[in-house]
Amino acid sequence: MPVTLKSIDKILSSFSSDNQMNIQLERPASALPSDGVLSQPKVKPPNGKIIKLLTERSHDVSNSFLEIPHAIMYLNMVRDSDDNDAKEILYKYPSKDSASKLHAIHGLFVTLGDMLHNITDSRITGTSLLVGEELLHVGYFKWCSELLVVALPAKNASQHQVQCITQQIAKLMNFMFLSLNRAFDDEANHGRLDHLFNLLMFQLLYKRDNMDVGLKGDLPHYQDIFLQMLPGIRWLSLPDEIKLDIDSTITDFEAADFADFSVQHYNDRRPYIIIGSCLLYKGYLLSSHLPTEDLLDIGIYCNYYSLNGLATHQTVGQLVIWREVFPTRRVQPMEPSVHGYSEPQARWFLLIVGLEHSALCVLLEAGGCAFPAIGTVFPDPFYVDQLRATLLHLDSLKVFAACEERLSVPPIPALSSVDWFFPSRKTSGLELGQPPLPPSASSSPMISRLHGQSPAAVRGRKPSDLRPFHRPPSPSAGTSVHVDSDNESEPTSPFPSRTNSSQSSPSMGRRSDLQRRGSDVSAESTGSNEIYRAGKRTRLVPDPYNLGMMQRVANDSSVDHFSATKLTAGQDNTLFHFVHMDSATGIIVCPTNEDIKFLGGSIHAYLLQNFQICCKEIRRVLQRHLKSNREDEQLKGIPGDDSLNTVQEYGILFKCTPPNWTDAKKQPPAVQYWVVGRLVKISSTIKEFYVCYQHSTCQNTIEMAFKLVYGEGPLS
Amino acid sequence: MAAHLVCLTNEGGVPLFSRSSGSAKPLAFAEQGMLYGVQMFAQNHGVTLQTTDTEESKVVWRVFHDSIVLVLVQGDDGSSHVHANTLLEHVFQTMVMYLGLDTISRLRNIERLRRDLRVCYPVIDSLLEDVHVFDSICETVEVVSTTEVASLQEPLESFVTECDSTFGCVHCNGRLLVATPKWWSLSGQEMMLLCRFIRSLPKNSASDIPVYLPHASPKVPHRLISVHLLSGLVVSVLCLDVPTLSTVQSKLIETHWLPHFETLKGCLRASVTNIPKTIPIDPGILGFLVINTEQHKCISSCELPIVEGSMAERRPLTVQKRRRILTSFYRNTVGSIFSVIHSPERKDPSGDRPSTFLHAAEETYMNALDHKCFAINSKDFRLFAIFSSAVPHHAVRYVSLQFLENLKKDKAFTDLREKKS
Repeated sequence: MPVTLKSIDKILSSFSSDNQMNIQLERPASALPSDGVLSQPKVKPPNGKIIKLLTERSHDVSNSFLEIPHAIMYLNMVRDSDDNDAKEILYKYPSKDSASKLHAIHGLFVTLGDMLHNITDSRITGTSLLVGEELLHVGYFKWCSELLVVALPAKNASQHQVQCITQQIAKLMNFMFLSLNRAFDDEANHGRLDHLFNLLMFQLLYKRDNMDVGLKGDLPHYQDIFLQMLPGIRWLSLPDEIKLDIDSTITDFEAADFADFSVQHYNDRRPYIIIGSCLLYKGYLLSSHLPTEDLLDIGIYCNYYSLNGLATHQTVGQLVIWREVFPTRRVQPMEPSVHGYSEPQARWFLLIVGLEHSALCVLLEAGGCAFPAIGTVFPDPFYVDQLRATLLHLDSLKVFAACEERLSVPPIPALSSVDWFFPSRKTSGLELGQPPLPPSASSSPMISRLHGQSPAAVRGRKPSDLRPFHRPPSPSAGTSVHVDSDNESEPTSPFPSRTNSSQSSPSMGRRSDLQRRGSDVSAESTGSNEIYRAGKRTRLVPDPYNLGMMQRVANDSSVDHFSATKLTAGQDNTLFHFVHMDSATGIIVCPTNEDIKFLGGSIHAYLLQNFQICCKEIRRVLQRHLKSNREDEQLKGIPGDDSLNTVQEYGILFKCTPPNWTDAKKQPPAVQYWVVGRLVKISSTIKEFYVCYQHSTCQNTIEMAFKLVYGEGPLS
Repeated sequence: MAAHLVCLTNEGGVPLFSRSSGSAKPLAFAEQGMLYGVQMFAQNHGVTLQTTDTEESKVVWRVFHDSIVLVLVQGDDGSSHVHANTLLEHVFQTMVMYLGLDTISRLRNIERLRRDLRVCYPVIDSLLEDVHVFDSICETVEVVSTTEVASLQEPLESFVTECDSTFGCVHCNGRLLVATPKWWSLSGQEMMLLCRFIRSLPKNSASDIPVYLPHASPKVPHRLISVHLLSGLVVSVLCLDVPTLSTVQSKLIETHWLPHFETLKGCLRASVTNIPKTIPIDPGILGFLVINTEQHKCISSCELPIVEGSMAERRPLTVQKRRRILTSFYRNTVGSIFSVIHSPERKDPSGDRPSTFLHAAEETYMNALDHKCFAINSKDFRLFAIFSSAVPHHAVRYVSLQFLENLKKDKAFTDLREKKS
């Protein structure tokens, strides 16, 4: 049915909450641009109901988690004796019963916050308490004389996690409303906040609660436990050509120098200047031209408003979000200002335009050299259209098709599923979604599988990734083959292998350029010969992952596929999982959800879950290192212990056995694996690298981190 | 580490005592009252307040037997709350050890109790301070590793028998040197607290003090007779009515211990650095802590010499620093990575469950700028070792495994109990 700005409220309110429905939004071709703008600052919470309806039946579940004790409160810590009416609870969520007990003891949180500051001379961060039988964790964020309190059940979130969520909420409130006080004091905001926290609680309480039922069911959410706590956005690595396409398109847009954007068109100063923009696809960051702080702000915004989940699961006809924001970088500057320059007094606006699975987020500035904004500011249809045009242009460059292709190919760098390392299992691997293995080898342990490869299988192995396809075959390609296939005998220089993975991928260029393909075919034949020879000379160990992939690719009409680099040293590819976070650029590089689905495996699901829990612990320790670097001043009260403040690498060895092992007589087979966290310091920036690999060859985490992210990330 | 400990009555919140350690200023009366007040407020609303963290410290509340509230404010080292709970448990059991569970759980005369509790201060203070032994954090008794121990078993047994008892032991500089099989049957916490108790006795004295055993007999006291044989070397025996202290001093000591004077002196010397002589130790190891979880005992040394001319010599870690690092490493590992092994009697609040890993953690390491740490969690043993940063990462694991293997074979550490039982 046609929806206009005027009728949308009526239509949405006509749905009763029991109905389940799918909403697909589509803009009529003939409509004026302003009709597509669904959200207006004065009308309803922006995008509220739409997202709520789209994110998986939140109506049905909103009642089911009311039983679980949880609360978000904003408390006034100063009791004015003259004014008895002064409210102590400035905001509370949920407004219904479940938190009544927590609301009743709000005085406890206030007293704790106040008293402990006096005793220990440091700010309160968290509390654990038992309500009845249920253990709750409480996180605090103290701001001036007010206290933000978040309480969640221990089985849904750990103490550390609750503290992180509290920090993030505070950050988001500052980003959206300038300060916590402005966010919570104004009752007009409360509906909006209720909605936001509904979304949050839905993610935290409902999804996790239903997770225990089927562990192998909904894997991607397991990732969230750790990733959501990291300050960063997940990055999707793409071939250079695609990256170039994206960046140049966005730069064109940001330059804003096309005719319609010009001063003549408006006959006035332009209303906004573009500070920067970032492009998201299914929640993965493709490109960012924003300062890191701004990117992180937008990342939290998208995350808490479930925009990432929305873009992943639904095809969005058009999404427009417009709101005034207060970027952390501008409002609470961390860095000292540069002499002779000061940021303009201005207002900032966030404009997000979504199309299908992609979203382009732009930070606009009004004031400064642009026209100053006064009063309520409405989204400018012209900018919305430009954003949309940019997205369409990107689509026409087949950028999103390439992203889709990137998500559908096997993981890069190559990953193994832990299930492959168990000798034999009663359940068939195929059922578990594991890539098919050569039938002759599927019953034997993996190592023997690796040694028993026929040259034919080897020949089939992705020649393209061994040789940068757009270069003519050259003698140097031979060395690259050697290096890639024999990491154990000589340490690989990270450079060539990275080159392999980043340059050899599929690509748009390739698809369109038949001549290039022709040369590629010829390269293929020589290349495979070289591999074969190399295989005789030294040990050549293709990993089962590649063999599985071979078969899959063989059925595919397209020969194009992304190549994989082996990150670990040693014969086998023993890499199970990794997370790399670069705090300087705010990006997280880790396997995509599709990668995890590709690997499958029931034990692997447990392993990933364990990895997440473990990384939290590791990061807690490594954070002490970061903290100690930041603050050197001596505290007066009760100082913490600093013995472990110089820890840079922290590893834990786990032993993993198949769950539900029924054979009491025999020892269950076991695989040992490491989960290692490492801080990598390069000049003044610190990167965090978390990796999970099988315990066999000793790995160098620095080298792995370097190989992984060499040349990765947004333009800087 | 700086810490405050406040003890109050659960009903009424009358302060019984308060101790502070490290650089912390003693808490004001009002602050003690507020620490109690928040807990009471929560209790009245049916909520149990367990812990609260601030950026630099943590606070733990525990109520024991509905009569005593202990509040601990401690500097945060990132470790799990389980260690703070262990400490409070130790403090409470210390009170039980001196005064008996009946006195503590049924409060009658509070003024008198407050006076009586003063005797606990030395042991409680030693628990709060960072001391040179690891016994309290791992709830085990720390032993001396020396080959001469075997020859002291015989004289101890005969001495204890003469005293009409089966519980007896010899302590050496705060570590257990040799004990009777019955003594080994006490829980790790009891042995640890008795060890602290004996260490707190005045030097070169003989004493006869009634003690309650927190788990074995919390309501009936036994006489603990302790006699200093040498400075820092104490023989103790738990007995009933006979013999009197003077009988022990005048008749039994000389006959049983004089012939072993030289051996005892040897043990005293060995206990200073506590480096096992019989086991080859890699020069990269700067300190270690090995826990025999089955027998509730541990052995540690942070005074391993630095090899001259080695890389480690360039940036040497002091013994205190090594000990602090090893303690921190232990506290950060156990409770969060490895599971906690408690005395079976201990009931913990549900709050300090370690984070639930889906797979069992077997080893862990931390590589820092100036040192490396490695820990192994095997069936009955746990090793925590600190290495020089010059030792390459891949060697650390091998050396640790080798060291633990050697130590397991060493009779002085593993066979202490089996031999006699």
